[in-house]
This record gives sequence, C-alpha cells and structure tokens, in this order.
Amino acid sequence: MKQKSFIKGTAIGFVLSTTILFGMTVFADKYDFIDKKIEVIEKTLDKYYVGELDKTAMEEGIYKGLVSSVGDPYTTYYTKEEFDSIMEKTSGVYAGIGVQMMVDQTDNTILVTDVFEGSPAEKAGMLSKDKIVGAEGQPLTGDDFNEAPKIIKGKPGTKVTVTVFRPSTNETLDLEMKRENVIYPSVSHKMLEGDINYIKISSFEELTYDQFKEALDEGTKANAEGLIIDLRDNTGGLLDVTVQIVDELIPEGVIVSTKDKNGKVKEMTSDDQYVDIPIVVLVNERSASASEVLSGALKDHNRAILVGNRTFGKGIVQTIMPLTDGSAIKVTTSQYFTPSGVCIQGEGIEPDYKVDLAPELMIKAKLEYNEDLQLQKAVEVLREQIQ
Amino acid sequence: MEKRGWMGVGAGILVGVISVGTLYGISYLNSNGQGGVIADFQKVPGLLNKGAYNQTKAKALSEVIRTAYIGETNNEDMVEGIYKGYVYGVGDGYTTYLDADNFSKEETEEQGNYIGTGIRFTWGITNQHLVVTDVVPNSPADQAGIVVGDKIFEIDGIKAMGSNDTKIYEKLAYTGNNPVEYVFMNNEETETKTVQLVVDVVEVNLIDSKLLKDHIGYIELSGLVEDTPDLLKQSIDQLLSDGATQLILDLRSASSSNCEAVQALTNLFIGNEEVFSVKNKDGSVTPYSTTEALYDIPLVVLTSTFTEGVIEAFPAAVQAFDRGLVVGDKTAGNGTTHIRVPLEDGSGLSITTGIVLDATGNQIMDEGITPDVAQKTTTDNTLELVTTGMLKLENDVVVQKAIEVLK
Repeated sequence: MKQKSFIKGTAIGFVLSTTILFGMTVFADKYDFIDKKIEVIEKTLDKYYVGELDKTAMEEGIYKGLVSSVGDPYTTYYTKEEFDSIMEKTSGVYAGIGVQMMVDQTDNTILVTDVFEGSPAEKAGMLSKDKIVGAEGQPLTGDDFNEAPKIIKGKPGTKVTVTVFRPSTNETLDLEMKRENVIYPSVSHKMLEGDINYIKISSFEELTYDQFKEALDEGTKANAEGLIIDLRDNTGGLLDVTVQIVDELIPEGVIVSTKDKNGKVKEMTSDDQYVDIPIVVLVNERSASASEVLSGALKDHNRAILVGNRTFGKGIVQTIMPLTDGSAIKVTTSQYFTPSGVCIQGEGIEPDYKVDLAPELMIKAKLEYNEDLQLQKAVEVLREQIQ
Repeated sequence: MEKRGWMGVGAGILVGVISVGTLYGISYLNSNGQGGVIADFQKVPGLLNKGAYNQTKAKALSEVIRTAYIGETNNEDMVEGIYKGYVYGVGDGYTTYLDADNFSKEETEEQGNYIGTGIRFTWGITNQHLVVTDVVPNSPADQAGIVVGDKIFEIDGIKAMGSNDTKIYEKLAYTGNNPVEYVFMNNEETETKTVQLVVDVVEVNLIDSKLLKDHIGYIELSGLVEDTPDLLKQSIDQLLSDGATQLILDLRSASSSNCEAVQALTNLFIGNEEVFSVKNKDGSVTPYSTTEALYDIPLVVLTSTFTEGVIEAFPAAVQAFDRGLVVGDKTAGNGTTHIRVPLEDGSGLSITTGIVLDATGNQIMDEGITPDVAQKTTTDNTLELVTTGMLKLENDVVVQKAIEVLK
C-alpha cells in the first residue's frame, strides 16, 4: 500500500553553498562541452560520494541515458550482458522455473501472471497471481524486476528458493524448486458445452501457430460450431506468428499495417482460406500488442465479437540493432494500424461487451467457470451467434 | 527476408523469469541495407576513448535515434540524458543528476512546499485510470473541487492507461505555467467533470492528527522537514489537552534525510542519549544526541517499507532505548545523508555523502529496522485503497494492531 507522492523534497540534508564552475565559455564542439561537464561531475562525485564509483557502469549509464532521453519506455540501450540475456530468451528454451511475471503498479510488487504446466514452479506449488517477494533470501520488490531473473535463473539441476506472498490467502511461502530447461507452452484448448472450441493463447511464440492450428483442427474434428479465443493476460509476442493465426480466421484482406518514420507503409494480408465459424475473443486490460493485432483484425473484419475489458494499448513496433561491441540499441521505429486504420497506442481496443471482474476475483489465481463472468458472457454471445 | 516482429508491453510491465521475449520488442532489420551492425567503434585506448565514455559510440547512438525513432527527437534532451545516465550509473538511487528545472523544484520542496496541482494518486486495479488518494488543502485541485476517491481518466487528451504511463507521469509532474486539462469521474463513475488545472506552490501540511477512541492520539507524518518537529509538538500538546493518554505515530509514508529534524523528532520522546550518528566519507563519525525529553506518553511507532532515510533511525532509537513499540513492516533500509551540489549552468547533483548508524551502532543499509510487532498491510487494505482512494483507520490492519498493542 503506497500512495504515489510528488513530495519528495524531504530527502536532502544540506545544500552546498558554492556553485561548481566548469567555465561555460563557448566550446568549439558540442561534445567538448559535454566532456567538460562530465569531467566536472566525475570530480564532484569523487569528492563527495560515500561509496566506490564504478566507472564502467557509469559509462554504460551514459549510453542508457542518451537513448532513454527520447522519453519512450521502449526505446532503450542494452549492455552486452543484457543483450545476451535477451537473445537467450528469444530461443524459447532456457533454464528457469517456468513463470511469467510483471510489475504490479498498484503495490510495486512482482506479480506472477502465468505458471507453466509441468514447470518447476508449478511442481513447487506456485500459483498464478502470487507475488514474488524474495529469492535466495533476498527481498524483492517491483524495483528489482530486472534483478529478479538474474537471481532466479541458473544452471539446470541446481536449486533455488523463491519466496511468494499469496494475496488470496494472505500467506507468505518459501518454495524450493529445481531449475530446468523450460519450453513455453503458449496454447491450451478444450471443448466447452454446446460444441464450443475454447482456445487460450497466453503468448505468441515460435511454436504458437502450430499449436493453435492443432487446437483449431481438433475443434473442427469435434464438430465445433463456435470458437472462443482467450487473449486475456496475453501481453504479445511475434508479429509474423500472429499474422499466420489471423490468416486462418479472416477472408482475404489486410491483417495489419505498419508505418515507419518516413511514412513507408507495409501491409500484411491474408488469403481467402479461413475457418468460417462464429468467434468471440476474450480480452482484458493486459491483452497487449500482438493480442491487439489479432483482436483488432478480427473485429475490423467483423469476424469476432470482443468481450471483456479495454485492451492495454500498445501499437508501436521496435527494432533492435546490435552494435559491434556486443551491446545493442532498441528503437521504436514504426506504428501499426488495424485494418480500419486505427493506431491503438495508448488507446486500447474497446470490447463490444464490457464485462468487469470484481477486484477480489482479479487477484485470484484460477477462476472457476461460475466466477468467470467474462467467459460466461463470451459463451452467451457465441451461442446467439451460432443460432 | 521478411521483417521479424516481436512486440509487446514494457513500461512497468516487463518480462519475467523465463517468459520468451514477448514484452521486449525485437525485430531485426532486413538484410538489404540498414540492419545488423551500425558502427564499428571498438574502444581504442588513448584515441577516441580518452574520457569517461566513447564519443564515437555516443554519436552513433544519437544518429540511430535521429534517423530511426518514430517520434520527435531533440539534442538537448539527449545531452541531458547523458548526464543523467552517467550519474545513474553510480547505482545509488539517491545519487542523481538534476536538470535545472528539477534542481529548483527540489529546493522549493525541501522547505515543505510543494509545486503541483495537489493530487496524490495510485493506479486503479486495471491500470486504466488513476485514483486520487489525497488532495492537498488549498491546492489547485482542491479549489477545483477534486476529492479523494475521484478517478482520473484523461490528462490533456492522453488516456490514463498503463501503456501511457511515461506521458501521464510527465503530465502529472509538470510544473510549467500552462493549464493542464484533467478528465475526472467520481468514484462511482456516474459523473464526469473536466477541469483545467494550473500548478501552484502550495504549503503542505505534513502532519495529520486525530483523537481515536480510548484516549489514543493518532498522528500521521508524511514527511519531515526543518519545522516539522515544532509543529508536531503543537499537535501532541493539542491531543494531550483533548485527553489523549497514549500515542500512535504513523511513519508509514514518511521519508526524510534531514539529520537535524530527525534529531529534534527523537528529542521529543528520548532524552539525553546519543540517538544516532553518521559515518562520513573520510571515516569520521558525527554523533546526534538529545537533551531533556518532552513527552513520556506511551508510544507506538508505525513503519513500512516506505519509511525511508535518516528517519529510520527514529524507530531504531525507540527500540534501543525501550521507549515504545514499533509496529508494521520493515523500514526501507536506506539510511543515508545527501548533499545537493549546484553546477554553473543551473543544473546540479544530489550525492550520497554518509551512512547512518542507529543507536546501537549498526548501519541502516540494505537491512531496514525490523518492527517489534510485524503486521504487513493486507490485500483487502490494498484493494480498499485502489478502489476508494483511501483506507479507513478502522479497517487499517496496522493501525488496529497498534491499538491492540497499546491495550
């Protein structure tokens, strides 16, 4: 529980009365001035800072600060170490405990959004919506979000203790688990009563299209008359995989288009083959990015009715450019537009049927069908469509 | 070769332990031209890399941003970013570079004044609106009739959504002279009001006191500046004359690194002791002692992980000298002192200069002060706050625990 406050001026003890000069004469080159000021800052820190100065980290800080200055949270600089770790992630297999997490801004904690089936975390009893409050005895808050993976990840076969707080029962648990190579299972499906094929996509990965196609085909074999695609809490993934999935669901037309800084437009289109059964897409405030491409395309082509809550609102695409020293820069290079020409950045997509969940259900790990008002509404709407 | 697009969410919502890069946007440029390697600047000692950084690399990065970034870019921001990033690299949250605006803002706020519209907020549970948790009396927001529990849906046409948080924070922290348009709804979301707010300098009352049942005085401190201890004394005297026989001092959202103010606060309750000290860069230690104490009323101090700074020495002293009980959550563990250094061009630095040692001589670093009676806030309390904008004292588990302890 913390209220964000703008009053933080109470932190300072005293102010140095003399101003530090660095000779603000005109410099021949802008960088000469920067160099001079950096030098003055360095000397001042050397003189007053109580700890040791890590000059390497400070140099990396310069590149980070320069890139972050554009004010877009997605435009960032990665050190070699950070970039290596991202590259490892994109391969889809690595040693971990098998959870997905995010920062919960309401109380600045690390929130578990997904615990993968068969993963070490699941075996140890971790549940979705648990809060990771520590690892290896070290306390963790939302501020440590980037540090947490470094502590939790490690060689397969080694052990790690993760401390979680479970809001629904108000208990704190130490869970010991053995790290394994985990493959991300991104699609699950089941048949619901009334010949409804329910497919949940938790993220768009390399294998997601194949997994989705399989789930779709199994539904067809079971004579599914309607389809529910659950994109709640799906924060995004690979664009081309998403496009492949949409291609299965809409007739010939534009799926999504992107526009770069110079106005260059690129369209991604689908062929005329598609599965022609009624669709309801479930979305919520955490459905983002690739999820919004999918729901936007289906909505604009009148191929699906959206049920749930307004989506997150990420409509921009980044490009990563590696540098020769192993570091990299990630830049927001284009916006994407739904088929009707809307960029949903900071706007989100409004559902056709807005269904809120009570706050106490929003923090619950797994909802039973009788609690899940959004799924119930989806089923109701879909049944009307089928008839 | 087709463009490979990873897209996803960032900004407060980041990827997890093994989640595949969904939330990192990654896409390699195609092979015909731009992609891949942009500039070769291996460090050549003594040539390009004479100073604190590699100038060629910095130039290459700014060039990439200028040519590829979809929005507006501006040189001044990049230069300020260089300084900010350089000092950020020190890795200590209190050692920061302040641009000219922030430098003067901090100077104003240090006096206990506040520049802004007068709203404190928390994100609503969906991150698609903000909930007002406090309105500073006489502030622009107060004058516009904004009350606790109101929800903010839009600021200057920008939706108050998690996906816009950087822009929204920028708007909320804006201290310029132009009006900013806020779209509010009441807590039940039945009425919308659009108001133009212009920021102002407002004196903030850091003390909130009331008399609870059973002669228990309750005082919440939301900060501690030079004159706070004197004002606190007046509040306590008032509570005593109203019949208070016991006192709860709530420091759960109080941060302060003003050594003299913490010393004066401690002096109200603990007499003739060395209550904390500060270890300086050169290894010397500056002691802070009290004179005759003013009050011997039974005391419970409430702490949380947001109780931060030199002020953490106060609950530590209460424990060390057996002056009362500390109830709540562990404190932040960041007992450090700082100075602010002005630079010639109006910008400046905030630098951590010393480490606080509590009354028993332990550094208040990393490990905070552990309360005598541990009582974390509960999910119910958090839900009440993020839905209604406030937490009633009768529902507040930490306050209730303190009352129980006093009994």
